[in-house]
Amino acid sequence: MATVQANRAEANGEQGPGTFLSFLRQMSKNRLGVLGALLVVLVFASAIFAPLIITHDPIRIMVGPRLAAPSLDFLLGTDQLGRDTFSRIIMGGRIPLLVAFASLGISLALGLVLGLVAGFGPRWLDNVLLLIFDTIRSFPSIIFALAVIGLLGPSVTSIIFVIATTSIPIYARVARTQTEALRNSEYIAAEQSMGAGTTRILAVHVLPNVIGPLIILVSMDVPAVIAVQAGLSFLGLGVRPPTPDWGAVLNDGYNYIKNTPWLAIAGGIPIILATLGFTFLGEALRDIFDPKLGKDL
Amino acid sequence: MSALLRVQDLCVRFRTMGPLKALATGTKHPFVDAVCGVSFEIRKGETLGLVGESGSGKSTVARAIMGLRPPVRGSIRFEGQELTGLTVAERKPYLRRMTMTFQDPIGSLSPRLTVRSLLSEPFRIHGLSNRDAGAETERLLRMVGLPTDFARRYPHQLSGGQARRVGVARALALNPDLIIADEPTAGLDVSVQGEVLNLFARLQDELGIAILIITHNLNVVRHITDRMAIMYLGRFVEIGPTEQIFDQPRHPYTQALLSANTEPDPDAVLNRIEIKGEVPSLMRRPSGCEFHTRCRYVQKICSSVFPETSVSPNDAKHSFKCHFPLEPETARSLQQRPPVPIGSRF
Amino acid sequence: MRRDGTAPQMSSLSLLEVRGLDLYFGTPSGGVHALRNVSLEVPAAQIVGIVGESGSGKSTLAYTVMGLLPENAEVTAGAIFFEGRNLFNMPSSARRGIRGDRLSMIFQDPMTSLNPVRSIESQMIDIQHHDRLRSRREKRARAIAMLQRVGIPDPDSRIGDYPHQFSGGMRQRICIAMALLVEPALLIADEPTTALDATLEVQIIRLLKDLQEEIGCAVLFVSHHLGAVAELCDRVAVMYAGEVVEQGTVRDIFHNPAHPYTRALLECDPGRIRKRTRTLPTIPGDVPSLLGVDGGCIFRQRCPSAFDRCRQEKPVEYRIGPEHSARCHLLSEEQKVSA
Repeated sequence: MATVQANRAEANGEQGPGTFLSFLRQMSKNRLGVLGALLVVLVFASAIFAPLIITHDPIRIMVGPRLAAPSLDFLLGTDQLGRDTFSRIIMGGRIPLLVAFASLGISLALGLVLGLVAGFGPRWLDNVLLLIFDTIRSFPSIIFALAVIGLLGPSVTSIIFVIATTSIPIYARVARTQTEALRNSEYIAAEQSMGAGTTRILAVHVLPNVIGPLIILVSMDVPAVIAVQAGLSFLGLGVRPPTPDWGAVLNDGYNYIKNTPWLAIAGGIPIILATLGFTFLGEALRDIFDPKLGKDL
Repeated sequence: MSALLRVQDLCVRFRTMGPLKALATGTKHPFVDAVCGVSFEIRKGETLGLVGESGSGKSTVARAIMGLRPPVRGSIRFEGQELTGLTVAERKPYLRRMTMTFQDPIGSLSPRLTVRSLLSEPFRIHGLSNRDAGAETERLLRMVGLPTDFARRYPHQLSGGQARRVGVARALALNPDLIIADEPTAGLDVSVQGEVLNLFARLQDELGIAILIITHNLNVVRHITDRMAIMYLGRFVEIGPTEQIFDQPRHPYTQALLSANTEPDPDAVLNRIEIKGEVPSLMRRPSGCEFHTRCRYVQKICSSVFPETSVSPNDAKHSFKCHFPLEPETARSLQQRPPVPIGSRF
Repeated sequence: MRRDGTAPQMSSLSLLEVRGLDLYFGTPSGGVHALRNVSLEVPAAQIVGIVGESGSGKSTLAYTVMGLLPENAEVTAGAIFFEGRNLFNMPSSARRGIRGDRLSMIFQDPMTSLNPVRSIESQMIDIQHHDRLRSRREKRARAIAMLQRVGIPDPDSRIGDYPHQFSGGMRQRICIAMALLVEPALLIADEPTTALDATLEVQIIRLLKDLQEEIGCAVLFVSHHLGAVAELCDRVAVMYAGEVVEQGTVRDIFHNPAHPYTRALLECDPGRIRKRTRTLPTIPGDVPSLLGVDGGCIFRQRCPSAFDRCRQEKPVEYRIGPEHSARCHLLSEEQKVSA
């Protein structure tokens, strides 16, 4: 089989690992990936430029009739307090995105550091860290979330704290496994034999090879975090009213779903679009950078 | 001339199980000795070959010298300076003067670095980043006979032979006095093996570098080494001048190893000394002479008494560990006849 | 597929005949033409060696015969006749029926063909599933006898062990025992000694040779190791970059090589260089890319005797001896001179 693989490697070897052009070429072939990227760009742009897009103040009560149907003035109608749903949805994207990126960014950074330490450090430290990771992971995350929110009160900070704490062990474990595999590779031994220090080896030779799969994991976790955040808001454990937020809009719509279904539909659509966008993009990234990771991640 | 590298009574031990498991299973000695009482020296500009089958501990010797694997006993001296027990920082200056190339030509190069970055690694590690990386890369690539535009390539874009040359270039970067080459021909096709060996021979002629070559391939040591040592279960069983060992092996294991060399000639009438069985496990070292379980000349004493090192009467540099060393006549009868010349069609 | 009448006429009795095989691997950068017009025959009860360096397609050829190609492989031309039947025209159930019965294979890494979670005993009994006459007890007895034959010490008690309880050399012996237990007509051996030490390699070669004589099967032995091929094989095919450049009896190839590549390869083998030298012969250059192969001789970039014609025209197979042929234009020039 050696020859067969060699042929494949030769054919795949045309592109270097870092060439942006080849990435774009492969990305453009992945239709779902392109769609995902467009959706993600749309969601981001609408959140960033929200103040320029909105047609009404999303917080001021009774700019128009209550529970109005979509019209030219109120593109997606109004809610029970007469607030413009379109404006609330556009502004409401800011919090889910903030929560997703802050919590996953923290998880990625800490997970990476802990994973590198566990995978490259002494054996006893590895065992201690693994024990801690597994303890956190074995704790039911919903109960943990409810406990933290009960303790700190419902706020963006508590949600970020909950999500970061529960995802750090997952990323750390992936980083640790990758690091440990690299630790015994010959090129690390070669670097050590030249006298390279541990920090240098970790930063220059281990980190770049470990971070790829983690970033793919993160990009695939974004939709899950958006859904969790929306879920907590829906349950009233998210941001306090009147701050606009997708989960809150969905909750308002749910209460009046019998007479005004468009409010619930309007609240659900951005969540669905954002989730699909990040999922497609994450899967495309995985297929391009690490086909070995498989479909089960 | 004094020795550049002197290794004395080197022992390297591996743990076979964790302390808890050892306690649970009642194992008193959860270790194996991968290298056991190995002594040798390399002089400036000399080439020594370390030959043995897999599991003989030859790569472990190299890793111990480079400080990648601390020995439990023994001394490793570089120009008289003891290297065992040094911290990474204390060892660093010596790692400029002795460097190593590893078995896997491509796998021993950091995968996300370009050849240029790989070749400037030694300078950066040793705080010599003021050197012109571009010029140094060109110098090194030329030295190993690669086109200078290879500097932009990544390891996976190299063939095995090219990657091996990059590995050698990296080892040469800081003008070392000693290169340890672990299986320099591993993973290379026959047509490329010669290239790499010729490169080592040329570098040695031009730069006067001492080389320690570690290999299981006897054909590799024959042409390039001055002296060779044969390892079995972590010990040297024979060491001496290469040509003399090829002509008159004194240890039966050496003899068997030499005759296990298959010949690219269907009519080679080999009176092969086939050895029975396989290399015993390090966890169950045989008593007495450790080769006695597979030796065709085994006697009673071999299974109980460990043979002392004896020195050949003809040559003080040729020594071996055997109770009944082969007589030069017996050994010579093994000498293979010259190969049939390739037909001269062209 | 042979374009000239000078090639040796194939006997209709050959056990395995590969005719004009072309095979592509689909890759993101295009089709890799991994086998080009490959023809080969394996007569019954003979050992045929395929020798070549990495990328020569020798393993691909073996896997094609065995029907174990990856999904991205596509055979675009040619046929493989085994016992007179074209394997490509056969329903896949019939092909499966041949595998493990008339045709068996051993691999470079014995672990790939042994199931790590099942005992040797159950695997060796299972492999005899084509045999419906013998009882389980008889099958077990045959397995033990075969293990004994391949040199597993104390097979009675060790047959219940699992693959990881054996050393690398022992595992390869077990694989050989399993492959030969079904008494195949053809054994395909893909680099079976590459992962082994020299002293074990010679043991395995001897074992294969002895067993082949006893059982009377044919063997297709794939290796990059010239010494092993010379010692074991009756006939040899030399492959380079997806083509069979020369084939003949083992003495034809090793004593009278006709293709410049074969000659260069033999000269490179340090095993035949007795005199101590500091400069070993090599073949300068690299194996050409198989993406979009053009019409000329595949070896011309590295060939010391290449001339104009080698670039323009692909050499056909020239007959040199009764069983000896090679693809090199120099042979036609020579024939012209001698004719």
